[in-house]
Amino acid sequence: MVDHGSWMTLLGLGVIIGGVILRMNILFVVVASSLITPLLAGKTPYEAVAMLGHYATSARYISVMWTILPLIGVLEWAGLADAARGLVSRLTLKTPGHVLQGYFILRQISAALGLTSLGGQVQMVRPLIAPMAEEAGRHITNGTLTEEERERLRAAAAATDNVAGFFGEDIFLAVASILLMQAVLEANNVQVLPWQLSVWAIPSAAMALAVSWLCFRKIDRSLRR
Amino acid sequence: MIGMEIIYAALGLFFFYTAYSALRRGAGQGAALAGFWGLYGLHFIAGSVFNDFSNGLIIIGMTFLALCMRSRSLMPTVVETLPLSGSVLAGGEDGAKKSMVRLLLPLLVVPLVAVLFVLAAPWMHWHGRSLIDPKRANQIGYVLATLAGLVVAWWRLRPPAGLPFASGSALVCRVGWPLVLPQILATLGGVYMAAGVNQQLGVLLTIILPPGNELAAVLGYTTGMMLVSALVGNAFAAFPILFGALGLPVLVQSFGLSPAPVAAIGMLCGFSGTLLTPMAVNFNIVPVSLLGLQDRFAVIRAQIPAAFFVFAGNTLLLYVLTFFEGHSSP
Repeated sequence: MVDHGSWMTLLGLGVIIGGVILRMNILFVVVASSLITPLLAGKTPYEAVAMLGHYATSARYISVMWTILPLIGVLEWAGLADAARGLVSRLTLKTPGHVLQGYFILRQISAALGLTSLGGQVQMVRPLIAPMAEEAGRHITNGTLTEEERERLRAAAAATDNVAGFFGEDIFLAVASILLMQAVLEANNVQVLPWQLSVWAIPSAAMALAVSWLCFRKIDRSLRR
Repeated sequence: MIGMEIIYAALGLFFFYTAYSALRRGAGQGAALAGFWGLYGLHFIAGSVFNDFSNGLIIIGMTFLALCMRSRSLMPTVVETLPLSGSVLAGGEDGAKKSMVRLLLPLLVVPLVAVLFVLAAPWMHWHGRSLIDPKRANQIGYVLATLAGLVVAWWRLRPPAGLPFASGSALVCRVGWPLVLPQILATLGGVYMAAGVNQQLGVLLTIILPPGNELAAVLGYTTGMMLVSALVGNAFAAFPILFGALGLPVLVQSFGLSPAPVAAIGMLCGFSGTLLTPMAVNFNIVPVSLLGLQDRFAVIRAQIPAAFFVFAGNTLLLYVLTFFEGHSSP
């Protein structure tokens, strides 16, 4: 197994590191690495291209998530972003920190209950959470939100969705990562119950919540000036 | 049986429409855009008919067209505000409240229908044959849920015919080539596995680390999970490598830790790595183009505190567990 040829395949990972450092187009870097790696493992160019095509075709199911775009388009046409801004003034969410903290908790709880699709960058952040955070930001800066601050709030909204989702979903028993861990353990002749795995996700959820609370307070403080 | 082929064909047509509207708009990059989305549409409609080599050529062709598009879609020259029309928002406070419900309803229908469908899928039979492909129940449920959301939106909002497609493909163009990246990264994972990269990395790590040292082993395992997840943009791909290389033989078998916390905490360290890398495209790069941010790393920057704090906490937790060797149940 440890022959010269297969050690060379680690250079395929090097292609990724180099590409990211040189800030090249990531699609190009990934495709280059997935062509070079089989070549280093001793495959012919024809086989390398066929390998790329084979795995790409069987991974098409991932792009199914984009079927929601027409719906988002319709809702934005109908003024969803405006409506989200209106919602901020009616709820008691007066600062961007409150908006993001509220969404963080909601996302963590729903992910822990297995409703991971209740959040998401396309489904929730762009149409709803980012405009709500911006509106609250405009509110506490009395309409003097700078372009830089606006950008920071949008990025924070996207980060909130990721962090709360990542450190919430593992509490649920039937989420993909728990099933994967169970499968890998079983392949190594170790039997565990899902709840034995998911209980260890609770400290992470608590830690993520604590850090985010601090970050959101910092955002609010810097906007109040 | 409802399988994925119908959905792929519909998505392919949608991408063809995107190519057509890009071509009609013309203007400089129109041809590259049209070629890119046209090839992607072809990959969806005819991917199962073409052989592997032809599909590989399609992906390579798309990659070169993406280079022609440069990363303009990633770093827009003018940051547009989120498109608004506010056409429904009229009639003061009361009207606004009503329209908010009208607008949120379709958005909430999606997860609800998706979850209900997945729960109901095992019972959907017709004369003893399954009506839907059981392996892809999640994806099929999601697509049907978005259609249900569209129906509700149509009923409540009455958009002009053709608007869903037009605005949907405008969003596709705004996201640009990063839209295909989640799929291509999964492809990379498959290629790595087939070429034996995973095994080699595991072998390398066991050679580097000093034997018999708990702290080094824990740090090697958690840091390794974080770094490899960051490198391939996916904790799921990193987990089998590092659990097989360090977690099971060293932490569990030599130091007597229970396998459950070793696995769970390792996976969560991988999640920290995923929050820190541009390789986790759909989480960290897609929102950058979706929200029209200038800084490509803006989302990653906002995630640094949480990622490192949770990583440090989890590493400490696993190290503390080594003091209770064999008693760290469950």
